[in-house]
Amino acid sequence: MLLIPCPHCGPRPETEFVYGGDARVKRPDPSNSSDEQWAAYIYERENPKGQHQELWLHSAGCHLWLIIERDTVTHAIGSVRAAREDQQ
Amino acid sequence: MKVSQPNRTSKGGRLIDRGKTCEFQFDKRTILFHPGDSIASALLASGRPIIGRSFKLHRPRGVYALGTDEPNALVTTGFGPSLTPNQRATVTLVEEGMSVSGQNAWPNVQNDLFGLLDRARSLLPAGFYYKTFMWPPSQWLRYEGQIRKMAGLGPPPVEADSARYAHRNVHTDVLIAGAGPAGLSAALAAGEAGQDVILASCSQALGGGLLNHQNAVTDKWLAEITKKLEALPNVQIMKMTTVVGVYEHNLFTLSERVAMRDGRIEGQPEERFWQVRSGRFIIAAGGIERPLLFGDNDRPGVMLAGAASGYIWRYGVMVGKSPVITGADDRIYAIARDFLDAGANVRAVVDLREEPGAMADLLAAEGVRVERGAIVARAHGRRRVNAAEVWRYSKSGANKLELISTDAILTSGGYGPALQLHAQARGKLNWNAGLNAFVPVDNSDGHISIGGARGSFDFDTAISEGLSAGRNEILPAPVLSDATNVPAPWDLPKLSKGTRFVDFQNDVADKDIELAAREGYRSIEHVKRYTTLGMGTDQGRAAGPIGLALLAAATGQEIADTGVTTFRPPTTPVTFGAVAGATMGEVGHAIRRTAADKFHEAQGASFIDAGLWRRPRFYKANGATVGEAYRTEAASVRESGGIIDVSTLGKIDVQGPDAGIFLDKLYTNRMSSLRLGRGRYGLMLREDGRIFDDGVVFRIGENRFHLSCTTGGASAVFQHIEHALQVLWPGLEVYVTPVTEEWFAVAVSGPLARDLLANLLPDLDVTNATLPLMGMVETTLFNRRLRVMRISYSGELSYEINISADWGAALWQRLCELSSKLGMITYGTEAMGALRIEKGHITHAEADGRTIPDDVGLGGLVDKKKDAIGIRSLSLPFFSEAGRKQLVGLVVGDQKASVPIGGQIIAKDAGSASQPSIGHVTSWAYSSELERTIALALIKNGHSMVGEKVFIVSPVMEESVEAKVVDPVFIDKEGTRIRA
Repeated sequence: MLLIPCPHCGPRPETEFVYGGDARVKRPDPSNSSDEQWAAYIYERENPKGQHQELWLHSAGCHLWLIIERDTVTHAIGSVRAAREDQQ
Repeated sequence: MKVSQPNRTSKGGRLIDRGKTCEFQFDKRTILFHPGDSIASALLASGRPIIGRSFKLHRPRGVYALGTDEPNALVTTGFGPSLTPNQRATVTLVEEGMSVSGQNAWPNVQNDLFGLLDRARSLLPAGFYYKTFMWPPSQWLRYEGQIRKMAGLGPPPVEADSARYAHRNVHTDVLIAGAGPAGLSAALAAGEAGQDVILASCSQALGGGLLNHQNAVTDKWLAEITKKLEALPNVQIMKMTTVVGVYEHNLFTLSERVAMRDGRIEGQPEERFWQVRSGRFIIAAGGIERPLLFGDNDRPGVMLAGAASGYIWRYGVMVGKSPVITGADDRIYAIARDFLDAGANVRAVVDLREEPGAMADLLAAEGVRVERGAIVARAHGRRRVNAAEVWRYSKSGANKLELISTDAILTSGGYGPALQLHAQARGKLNWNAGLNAFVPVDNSDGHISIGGARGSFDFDTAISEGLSAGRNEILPAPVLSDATNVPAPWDLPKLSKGTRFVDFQNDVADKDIELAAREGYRSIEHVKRYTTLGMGTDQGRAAGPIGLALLAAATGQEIADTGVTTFRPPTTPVTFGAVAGATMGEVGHAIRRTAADKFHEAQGASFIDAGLWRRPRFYKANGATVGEAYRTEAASVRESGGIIDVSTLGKIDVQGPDAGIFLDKLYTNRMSSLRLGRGRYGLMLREDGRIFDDGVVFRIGENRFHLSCTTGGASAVFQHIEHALQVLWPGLEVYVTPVTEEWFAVAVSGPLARDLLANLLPDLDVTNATLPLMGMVETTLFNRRLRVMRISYSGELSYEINISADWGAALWQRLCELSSKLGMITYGTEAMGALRIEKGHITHAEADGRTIPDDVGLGGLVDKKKDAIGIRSLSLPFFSEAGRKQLVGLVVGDQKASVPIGGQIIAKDAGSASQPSIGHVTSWAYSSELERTIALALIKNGHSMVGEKVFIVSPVMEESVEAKVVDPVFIDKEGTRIRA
């Protein structure tokens, strides 16, 4: 079970979190994207071996959506930051 | 009946208390034991050779090993609520009065009629069941039941477990698995360095392999280090505790067998399941002794030689009085000496090596028969070994030497490191030709193997590795023996008859593996699944390496290239009870109760789960059965009115300068244009365009909104909103708070709803002018803030009254009094369901994660001129293709018929030839107003099928009813009632 270092609450077990998918996927402008581009946003995901940027919600904690760098092979966790700060 | 312990030695036994003799039952016979005995040692002492039957062939089997590697001696303990099957007799301690039974046999393990299967051995090769019972495929279910009767483990318990279990979570600096010389040394070094240490010993005593011998030097060392460790407060010694799982980020699970270790103490659990986060993990799990391959090597009386010695020194049990000991290293001479000292008549030591050296000469000089360059080729005797067939075997040839009569053949195929924990921790393995074993590669990832688990079986090396590891120093390269003349345990020729078993528990023999190779299996993972090699409770500890070597030989690969199967938790079986811990029954299933729960119960409510909430499904006063009650309740709501507790609906407070803009992005329709004190029904979509949830939004302040959502969707909706706010539009200034628990809510519905409201709040203007449909007023009751929102789910004139939750019970009570004076009733979710079906309102049965707004007739709520989550997806081409399932109503031909559960819709009668389903029923009810059964359904192109006849069928239930497709709104299409 992963031990996720929440920047707000400190290290917490994975069971407190909800996985939210690939954090690199950005919502395109709906008024300015083709059907193909939009469908890719909705349906196409990579399944990388190694470094991955993931969204996790600390649902049993501070309720921050986090962007977590995780190695999908070793589970090593790199940087962890609030998604909100990431984009502002 | 006279009971004795014929195989108990006259003295000794480190783990037992000879001062006390107790009794337990094995297959209804009384067996004597001393406290500290395992089931296996007690049964061996009693002289019973047969303890179990093998999985497939039902061959008689005795005890083979000493610990968790035991493949044969599986037993069932207890009965009724304490029944536990598949206990390994070698690691389960006996208790006074315990009831133990053999398993997988009928009528018992001594005389098992299924033992006839063994005679058909040649007919039952690897993959027999797959190959034979494939045809016709439809019959597999029938065969399976029969096969399961014959091939299986113990019976599953039928009654609920009476034992208590507990969980504990801790953090520590160092976790050490194993309490042999290496583990103890590591614990001492780490403990003296001030680290917090947990030392897990799967035995009831410390010492590991040291317990299997009598040696003044090691015994003294053990006594001293034990004393030192016990004096260290930061070292927690956990006996009868096994590290069973290794997980990410240094999480480990431990199974602690509390009752077995401490006895049954009131209030103490049977087992405790630990989750330990440890900075470091030191694996000192020792080695695993390997069997030798020869004919009928599974007979009761054939045993691992090291284990046999262990029984002498641990339990004072001599497994044979005239043993033959065979192997290929000097260890067999020490074991022979153990037996001589215990008073046995050692018949022969059969050494595979032609020139074994001094140890052999010494023993021979004492008059013990030593055969050099010889092997045991077959065990004779069926129910118990009675002779060893010994052959002379060398490079120049082989010839049969003699049949040596014996009561035990003790075999030593050498030791390999216990790799389970290292491999679970994703450690790498190297093949070591000297040991004929895979050994762990040292790992810098927070875990390290030491001692026997690293291949360092030497006492002094184990200690020095333990001390280094405890101090977190880098270990010197392992001192592994060089390639020697020691033959590998699998490298023996088949010289005689009899099956040579590799995996005893699953009856996998050498020829099964060869057969698998001939049939094209190359991967050890595939061979494992095909032959069931290593799939038993012992997880192939002993069988694995041999199976691997045989596969390598059969396929012409190197062993190193064949690899090993994946090791997964748990390393030893863990009971479900331990994993569940205390989270059983009500503790395991949290119940959320609304503020009026006590009153519902007093009013005779029958409850139903809605997520974690429990809600009144119906009130028994309104009918004896749910069917009767909801019809009465629904009819009363339409005639006069009723009240229902709707506190469970999700409620979310959204405020901030950008709240309106934000809600426009969440809902398909526009919420920013709401006037203060007005509400609007809204749809939320997932980004892929499917309906996610629905509810009503009220503007309760200039920059403040109150959202409601479905009971079941509440937590997911909150996550969805948080995602939109933090990830999609982080620039908006909006604050979101879930407030479901803060409010108690009652819906008041029916023609008399306004009268009830006026009686409750005499000062409130309840006219349409002040409180129209989708209007809201705030007032006070009991000096508390009260919100009245005029919304309707039932299709009647209806208000939802919200009050602070701690005054909910009072509000409910007041409303009950006032409503009964008006002749109104309380109603439950079942009637609510019937009312909303009549009105054609959707729930998650219709918004099932596949439907889009157009499918359920709510396309008009989508404002395509703006961007909200999911809207862009609705214009993807496939959503406008024909053939989508659309929401329709159904009136059932037979007015009183019930609708088959899970009913599928077909166009022609079920009696005609098989035909595709064109849709399914999503919900149905008996409509008291229409006096007939109605349903909502999703049917392909349903909107264009209004007026057509269809059939609702359930092939499983063999049911079929006729129905007519109609508009999904059955009553008051114009909405005059809700606006009354």
